[in-house]
Amino acid sequence: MSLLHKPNQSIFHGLVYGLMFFLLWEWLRPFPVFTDTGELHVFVWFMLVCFVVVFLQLGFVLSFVVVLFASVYGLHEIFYGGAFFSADGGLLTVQHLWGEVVHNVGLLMAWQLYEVTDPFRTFVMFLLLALVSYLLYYWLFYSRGIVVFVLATVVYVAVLDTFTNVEGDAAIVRIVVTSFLLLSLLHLVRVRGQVFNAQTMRKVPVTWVVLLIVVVVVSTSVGFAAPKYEPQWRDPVPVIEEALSGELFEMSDLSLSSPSNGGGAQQVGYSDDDSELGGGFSQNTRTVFHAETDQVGYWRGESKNIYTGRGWEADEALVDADHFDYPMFSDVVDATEHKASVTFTDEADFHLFFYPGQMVEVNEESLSYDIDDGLTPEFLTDALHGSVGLYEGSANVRLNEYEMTFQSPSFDQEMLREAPKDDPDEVTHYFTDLPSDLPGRVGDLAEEITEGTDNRYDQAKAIEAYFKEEDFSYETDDVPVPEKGQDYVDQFLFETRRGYCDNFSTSMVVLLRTLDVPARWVKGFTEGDPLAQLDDGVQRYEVSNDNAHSWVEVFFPEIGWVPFEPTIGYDNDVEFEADSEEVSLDIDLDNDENEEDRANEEDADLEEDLESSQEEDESEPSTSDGEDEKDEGIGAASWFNAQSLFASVIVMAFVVVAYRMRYRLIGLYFLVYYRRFGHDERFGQAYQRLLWMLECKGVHRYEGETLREYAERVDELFSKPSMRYLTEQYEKLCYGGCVDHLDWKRDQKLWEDLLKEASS
Amino acid sequence: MDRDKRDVMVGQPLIQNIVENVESVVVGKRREIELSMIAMLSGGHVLLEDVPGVGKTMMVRAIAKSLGAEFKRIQFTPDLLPSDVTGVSVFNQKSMEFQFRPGPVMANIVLADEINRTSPKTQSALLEALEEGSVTIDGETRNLQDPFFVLATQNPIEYGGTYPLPEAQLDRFLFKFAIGYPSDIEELDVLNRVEKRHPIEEVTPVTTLDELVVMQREVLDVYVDEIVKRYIVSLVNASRKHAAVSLGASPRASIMLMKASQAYAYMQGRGYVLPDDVKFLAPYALTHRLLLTSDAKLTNTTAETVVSELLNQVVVPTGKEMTR
Repeated sequence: MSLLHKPNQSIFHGLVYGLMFFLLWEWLRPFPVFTDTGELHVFVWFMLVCFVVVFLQLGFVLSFVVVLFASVYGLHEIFYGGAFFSADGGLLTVQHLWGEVVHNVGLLMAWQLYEVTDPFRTFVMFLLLALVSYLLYYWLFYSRGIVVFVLATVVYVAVLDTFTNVEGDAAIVRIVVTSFLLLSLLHLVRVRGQVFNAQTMRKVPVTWVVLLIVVVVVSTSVGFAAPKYEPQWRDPVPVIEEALSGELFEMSDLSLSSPSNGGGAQQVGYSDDDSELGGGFSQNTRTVFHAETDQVGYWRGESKNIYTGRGWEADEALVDADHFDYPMFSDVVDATEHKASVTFTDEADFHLFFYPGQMVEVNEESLSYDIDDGLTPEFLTDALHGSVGLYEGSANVRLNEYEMTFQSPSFDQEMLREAPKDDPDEVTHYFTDLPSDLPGRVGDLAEEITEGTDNRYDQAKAIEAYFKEEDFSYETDDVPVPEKGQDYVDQFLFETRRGYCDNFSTSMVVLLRTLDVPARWVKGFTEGDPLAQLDDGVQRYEVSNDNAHSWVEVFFPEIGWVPFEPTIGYDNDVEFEADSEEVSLDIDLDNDENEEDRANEEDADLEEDLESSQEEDESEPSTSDGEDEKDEGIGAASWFNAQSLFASVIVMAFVVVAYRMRYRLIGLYFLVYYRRFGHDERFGQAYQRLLWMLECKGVHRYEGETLREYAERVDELFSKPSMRYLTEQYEKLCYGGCVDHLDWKRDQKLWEDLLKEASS
Repeated sequence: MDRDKRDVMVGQPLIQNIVENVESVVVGKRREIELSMIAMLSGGHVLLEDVPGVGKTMMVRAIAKSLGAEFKRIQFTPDLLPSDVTGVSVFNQKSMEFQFRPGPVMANIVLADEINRTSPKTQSALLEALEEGSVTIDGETRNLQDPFFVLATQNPIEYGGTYPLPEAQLDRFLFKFAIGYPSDIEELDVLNRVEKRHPIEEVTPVTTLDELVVMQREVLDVYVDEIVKRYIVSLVNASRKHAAVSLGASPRASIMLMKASQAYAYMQGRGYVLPDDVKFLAPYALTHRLLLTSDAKLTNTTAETVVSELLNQVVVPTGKEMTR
């Protein structure tokens, strides 16, 4: 036990230092994932050797020899192989290594860092590990502050987890456990160091350690098992990527995003060409339009009817129209009429109108658009696909602003279930076609999903629910493009099972069509982010490229086109009333009760009623907000975009720097000010400024200290007699009431020198 | 006085001469000599509380000789009468009238030795002279000489057979301090100097009493700024509020402290008073005027520590409000 006579070498210290080893291990673990490092176990073993050597305090020479030997052995293991203790083993390695060192030092001198060879890099890495293990020992037992290292470890893992493929989940749990133990034990070391003598410190406080382990294990398990919130921020990576590259993309590119054959990432947005779907896309938060309405809903743009196996195309069916006579749904559907106004941003380029529910009318006075000189566009509707736009030959029409009236439907589930099945021939012709090479298993799957249903509504609902119940995942980045000859839907349903709205909606349409249910693929935007509550329940929404969306419409004879939402994490606002009679009954009951209440409390305070109604008013928007957030799938804050992040980072950095440099800046201001405006009569003021600056910089003048005493201290600090001199001048002014002796030109230099020294 | 010529003081070199002259006799006690000169310049008196034989008498005699002033010494004993101090009228049978025989107090510089060994009655006779600058004998008021400076000594109070001076009497002294023993080197120097002949005999006047009077007037012209006066007031005020003090310094203390500060500034050739001057003199001017509470005495708090606390606590004005 002679070893244990050195300080910090008890078993207890070994325990603490061992925990440190595990913490450092966490730094090595992700190496193979984000670098081309292999043979990690060699590094870990080497680290262990270093820790033991440092802990035993073998003295510099012996430690150095052991570490050097260990690193040579490690290099041998990694690069050269074979038996180490043989003629062409270790010796050869040493020779090689020597050659490497000579070669690479030359490279380093020439600053050719890319040329540095792997063995040398590994050797440097070994040295670094050895250094770090000593540093940690010092941190642990001499500075006794390890929080910074623990925090750095957490940040390291978190950053890797966010920006690389490293999975940090388990690492974080391990780090938490290790750090808790480490910090507590270190604290114990500190406390015992204060209270007990060195002899008691050598013993491991078993009870204490056991208790600690129990507490840490229990709290960690509870934390691990407890339900947790989903991430409250969206993944910052796309935002940062966009911040770095976003300026390069123009809005017009989005509207015409070219099909990506090589699997390159597209940007999210509304695109005209859907003939080639698939592939990931990156986020784009640019605003497309602002809308003001009292009824939210998906903003429908157009639909497409021809599924090609790779994407969507549409039959041309434009008709000149004075009014929008294409029925989205017939009169049997309950619908309420609402108004909305839409204002596109400068970057948006659309000739289509976007509308929730069913368009009734566009207010022509409010209409504003851009078109080439001398041309007048006309309204053209496409009854087949339910779209309306402004057209003028091949000229480009660009909508700026419009107001419209629309109907927001509320479908009765029973009515949908009991809808007849005799579709008009036109509908059957256009909306049930499928490519002939569609794999049969898609149809089989549709049969399987809808088994036990006997009507269109339940079929559609079953398919809609299928995506949400099965192990499909919403994914925008890592979405593969179908290979040549592969069907887009088939790939999604049976292979990848991850994708975004296009995958889900197209698959649902195709699944429905295999059951001969007429369905079409609809494009538009989701309702957008609520910005501000305006008067009369009207809310302002911001619809951005992020909100570009596609969904499904299913045809019900005598009723019309009913929207469905298969995409995970999205929810359409279309109402499906469960049972109109029951609902109305409930309402009646409620009303009765209310009336009874009122009758009973005739002398109830009028103010109370007012208050309660106000409360109701206030609570409404908040609940709808909540719903909106849920609809988005993730609670993304609209202000958290690249610009605001960047701006705040810059502002924060500026503020921090300015704050850290405040005295220097103020000192600079004084210098400039008195160079410009300084004269004899301002000497007193200038001297006071100097006193203030000294005080700020920690040269404190005690309460009972006279200026002269203070000046002597200051002069001692700066080793020159300027303060004493200036103070004498000031004393004469302040206590002697004299002004004639003052000469700013003469004293300015001294004052400036002192001020510079004080403020730096 | 012209404000801008404040630094030019005619008397300042003379004072320095006197101080150096006296220092040749009393070795290594420059500060005490200076304090005595300050008291003399500002018309105050000094109380020395010290053991015998440290050179009190030598110092006073040297000062007197340097000034060419008349010097008297009163050795206070328990049986000393007031008339022994002030003087007495004696009937002259030749001229058939009373003739006044001036007492030892009728001199320019008086050494009142062991003042606390005499009866309070005799003490008060001297102290009246200190305060009024005159004595009343047989109903006749007689002015003392000008300048008039008393240096009183008292044995430390712990010694037996003493009548301690009451607070009211102590208040009349400007300064109270101790000379204290010289250091080894200084004492050796003293021995060397007195080996053949006492240096006091070689002291020659360096100035005249008239010049001293002029200097006393010049001291009055030393400028005391409002903020320095306020500093004095806050110091004295703080002494009254201090927890360990049952009776603080009097307004007379403020006046004397200010005058002494003027004299100190004058001695340094400065035409205006600094807070530093006040701070330097406050321990000598205030300590003997504070009456501590019995609690404080029990905890061994001394007036010296109280004053140094006050000096550390009271904020020195730096003219922050001034924007010139």
